[in-house]
Amino acid sequence: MRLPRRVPWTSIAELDQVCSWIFTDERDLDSKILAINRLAAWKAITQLPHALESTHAILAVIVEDMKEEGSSSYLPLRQSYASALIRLVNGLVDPLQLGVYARSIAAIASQLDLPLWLVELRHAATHEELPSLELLREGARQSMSWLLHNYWLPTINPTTVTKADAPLRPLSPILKQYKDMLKLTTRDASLKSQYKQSIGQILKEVEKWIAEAKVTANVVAGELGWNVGHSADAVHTDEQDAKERWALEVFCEALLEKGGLVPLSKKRRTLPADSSDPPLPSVQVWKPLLMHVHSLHYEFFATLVNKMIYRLADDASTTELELGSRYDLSYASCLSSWMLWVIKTAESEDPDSTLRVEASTLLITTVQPGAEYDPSAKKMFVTLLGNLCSQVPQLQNALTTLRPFDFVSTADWTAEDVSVMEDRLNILLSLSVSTPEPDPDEPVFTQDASPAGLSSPPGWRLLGAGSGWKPCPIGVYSAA
Amino acid sequence: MISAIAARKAAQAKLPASSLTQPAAESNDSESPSPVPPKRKRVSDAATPHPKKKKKSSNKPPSAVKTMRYFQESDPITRQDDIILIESDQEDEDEDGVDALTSAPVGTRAWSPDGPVTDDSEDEDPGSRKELPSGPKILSSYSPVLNQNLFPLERNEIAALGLPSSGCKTVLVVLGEDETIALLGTCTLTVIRGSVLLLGATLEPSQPRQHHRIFAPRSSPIPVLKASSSGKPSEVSELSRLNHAFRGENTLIVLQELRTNVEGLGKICKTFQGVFQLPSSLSSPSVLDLGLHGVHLVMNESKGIHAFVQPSPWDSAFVLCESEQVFLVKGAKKSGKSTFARTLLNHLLGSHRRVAYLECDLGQSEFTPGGMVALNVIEKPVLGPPFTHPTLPTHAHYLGSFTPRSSPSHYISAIQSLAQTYQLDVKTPYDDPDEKIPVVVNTMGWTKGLGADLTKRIEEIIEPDRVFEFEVEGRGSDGGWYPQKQRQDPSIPKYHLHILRPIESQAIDAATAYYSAADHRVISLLSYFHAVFPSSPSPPSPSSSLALLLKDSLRQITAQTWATSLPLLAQPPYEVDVEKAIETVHLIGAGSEDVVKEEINRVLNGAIVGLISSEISASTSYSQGEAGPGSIPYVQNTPPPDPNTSRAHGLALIRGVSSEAGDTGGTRLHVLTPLPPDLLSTTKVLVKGEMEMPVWGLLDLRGGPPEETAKPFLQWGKGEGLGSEKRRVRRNLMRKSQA
Repeated sequence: MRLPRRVPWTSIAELDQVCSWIFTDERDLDSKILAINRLAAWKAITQLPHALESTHAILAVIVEDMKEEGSSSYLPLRQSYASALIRLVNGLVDPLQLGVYARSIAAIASQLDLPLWLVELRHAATHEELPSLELLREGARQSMSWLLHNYWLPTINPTTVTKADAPLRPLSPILKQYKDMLKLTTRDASLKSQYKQSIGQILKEVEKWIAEAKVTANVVAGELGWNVGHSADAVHTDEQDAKERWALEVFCEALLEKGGLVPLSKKRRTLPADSSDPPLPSVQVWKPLLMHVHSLHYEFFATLVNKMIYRLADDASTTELELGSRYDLSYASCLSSWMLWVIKTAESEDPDSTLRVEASTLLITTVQPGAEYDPSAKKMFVTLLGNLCSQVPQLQNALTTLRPFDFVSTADWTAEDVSVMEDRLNILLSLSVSTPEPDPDEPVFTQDASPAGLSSPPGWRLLGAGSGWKPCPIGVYSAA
Repeated sequence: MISAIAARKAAQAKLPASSLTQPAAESNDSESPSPVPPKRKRVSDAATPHPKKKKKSSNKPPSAVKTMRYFQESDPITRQDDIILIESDQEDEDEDGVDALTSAPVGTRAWSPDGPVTDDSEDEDPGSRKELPSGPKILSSYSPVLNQNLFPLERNEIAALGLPSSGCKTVLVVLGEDETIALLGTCTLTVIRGSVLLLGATLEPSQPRQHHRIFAPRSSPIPVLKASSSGKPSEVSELSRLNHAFRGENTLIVLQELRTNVEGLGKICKTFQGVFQLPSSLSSPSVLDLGLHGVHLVMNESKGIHAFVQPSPWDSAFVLCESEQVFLVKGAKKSGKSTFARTLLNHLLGSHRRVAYLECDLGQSEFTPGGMVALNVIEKPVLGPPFTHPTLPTHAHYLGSFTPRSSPSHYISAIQSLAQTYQLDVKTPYDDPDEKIPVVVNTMGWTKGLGADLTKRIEEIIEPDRVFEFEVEGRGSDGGWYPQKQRQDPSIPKYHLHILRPIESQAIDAATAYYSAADHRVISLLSYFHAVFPSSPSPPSPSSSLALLLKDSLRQITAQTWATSLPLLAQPPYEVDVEKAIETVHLIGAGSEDVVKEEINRVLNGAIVGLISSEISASTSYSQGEAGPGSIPYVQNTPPPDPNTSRAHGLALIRGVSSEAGDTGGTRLHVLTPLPPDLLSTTKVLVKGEMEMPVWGLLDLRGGPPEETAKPFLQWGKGEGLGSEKRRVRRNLMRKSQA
């Protein structure tokens, strides 16, 4: 379930009104004061979005500056300007510090399209000489303009302003560089120490790319719903999870391209005869990267397996196959061997991993019985599913019951079909360990009819039945 | 069955220490009372297999099972000084289990020649194996057998025992010595014979019989009840039908269904949905049915259910508390501070009729919703997490925030006032000058910087006899507390200091993984607003009003039920005529001084306010001439009411404010509050702080998830603009160079 969040305005029109008070006429002091008072009231109601808080702070200084002609000391003014601008930049940048390590503020600012010199101004105001009044005034003016175009207008008219495509640099050059370097060191172990540092560098580069992708997710997804998990406070975390998932998905897609986990050359895709593992040279090359990303991103393996399954299903569907292209069986088998490897690795790290069960379920449901598949693909799926379930008796039972790939294509349904389905259902149900607790009949409670006998204190009147009061949202006054 | 278990336990206790030493038992062994001498047990029952257990089958090889069984059984017994019998060093215990297997039967014969080997045959009972899977810890050593140690009571018996409601299902539970029961859900407990230990409280039979309400949701560690030394074996006249079934040493308790509708809070705040029920994933062997609605017997610890483990040093710390009056508990958050304070309170209630509790933790208050410092006088042991016992404070002050960060001096003067109230009115109560009421002071978990200074100030104000400090850094290897440790600052050795080790972080993490402090704040606040307080005193005392009962008679007034069938937005509010009922309105919190008079109606709409009664009349603090009559009496930038001349009674939600140009004259407020009407006549001052109603409290979830359409003050989805998020602070960011 998605939860709404508390905002201090009844409707977006109130926000619009404040916007016009602030930005319509730069010289209109009275309406600016109205806006400051309204923003102060909103702040007392609930925590404001950062952009509003910053608008409030900067506006208050600007108004103070407009009033203060002829004052003897301007230092307080410079300090007010400086702190408002420092807080603006920090507040915009901090939410985007998503990784373990700090990214440079300038890098984030350029992603936000924030004038770079504001970042410099922030630095100067924090660590160097307090900037001149002229510079600070200009900074405040530009900040207000940035806030108008990047917060106020998009929030008030969500559709009119279209976002520029978020630039996300391609991942493939980084992956290629990584692959080449690892190939070198696996072939010639003596080079290992020599390249150790540059490999670490590349792993950091990959991490940087994922962090950037997370920021882009913010923009690409436009509106990310937030799911409510365990905690109302988890809103942020869930939102972060969604961004991270998106970033990992893009990353996984790049890994699954031919030439990634699965080598380009078909010769190199030959699987070892004695095990279900991927070809050894591939494992040697990719294992360090996969383990590195896995160590930093908890959901990486799950995302990877998901993407693999979708990729396998998409490739195999004959309707998806373009004319002339053929089903690439060696790619599919190599990819499925990687999938088993990932699951095995995940299980060896965490014996409670449910990845195997999830993968089997997803595979069964994704590969639909009705869809048209290349015959060799069907065989591949059966083998893969067999391999997946081979170690888990419970899954095996389920598999034999379902026989998901014995495609029955009878157009006519008979009563027997239904009974067969029911039998299967019963078998499947008996396999699952837990049965949901039936909701016991809730005891019916009569609403406490409130102390009718007690007289209310002076000035207090309970609007019970017969008063004409009607339930309405909190914050709405229903006269009775 | 009982004697079989008891016999085995005694055998374990007798075993040479080498075979059973618990690595975790460490420090407390020397202080623990010597194992209870084995008694002779009749074993005739033991040989009778359980009808219930027989149905189950097991695939496990017997030998392996036996190993597990012995180590698990051995665990509770060797640690008799504890109330709760769980240890966490699973791996070490596994190793010990092997030793126990080889030596245990020998032990059995050695001490009890006439408790023959048939005892062991019980172990081979295939049914019992299933109940002891290898992993989880055993919580309940009691295993119910209908009409043997579990008896449903009949209506006339319930009435004869004087139990609260004879309509509810009621069972009599017969416990052998040291047997434990872990409960999930809600129920009423009455001790008929013997005594039980529960969350620090020793519950004994009393006349008239005391009924204890137990609330055990999964969102907090669940309580484990342990039968302790039995009293003199006396016949229970009201239960003549059953007297033949008890043996002398048995403890008799009665469990009765308890219907308070507290479960309904889970429908308001979905985070806590079903916390009084079993998790659906739980398999049946870990849980047994007692035949009561709303309460379950939990056999083993499992995912989602954690038991309260009372660290053994606590017991010995309690022992020293008998003669002193003022106790202060401090330490970092998540160290078990509040739990310790609650347990200490329960313990003190064993030797005192009433115990005061001074809450200085604004974030996670025990008896009041957050944002208040409060002094409560407690009469009954507290058997549940804070949200299950909202209680009207004897004296309190409203700070309006979950932290004193923005108003430290107000915070300190509020505590000063409460400390004074305790000294003057509570310590030696007006109605019974012979009684000495001790006080437990719980401090906040903010232990660094300004927080440390504030706690130090509180210490100076309170002048405690004994301080319990949870140490975070540099925990000693001996693990226990060491009394009267010399402090670096020689100026404050006025009290006894005990250093306690924090509850193991692992245990805390497991228990609180699903519920954060913020979640508990939300449920406490919602519980408060849905609570139904008794509106007339019980037992009825004709002359005094509720306010007097609280202030002069120091009575505990705790919510009995919850009204959760309607969400807050559908509950009929009070209409408050501002002119008649409100003298002043104050705003506190950072930035509140900027709110101008024209905006006050907007700020109060939808706000949570403290209801304050002040001794200073309105005329001095506010002159009506400044604004039109009937408008909200607010002056920008006024300090909050002085704690020395005011007190907070509780909270209210202003769910609507009439527009100023109302045709009825003055401004009217629509107000929701659980406070009994009795108290409202005195609360003429409203204080709005930084606290807000959680979003859960603004929704109507009766018809499933709400429609995502625009509603006043609520917005779905994320704004599109940049900077539309609330500020977020990262304190764990590292520089690349730190890699």
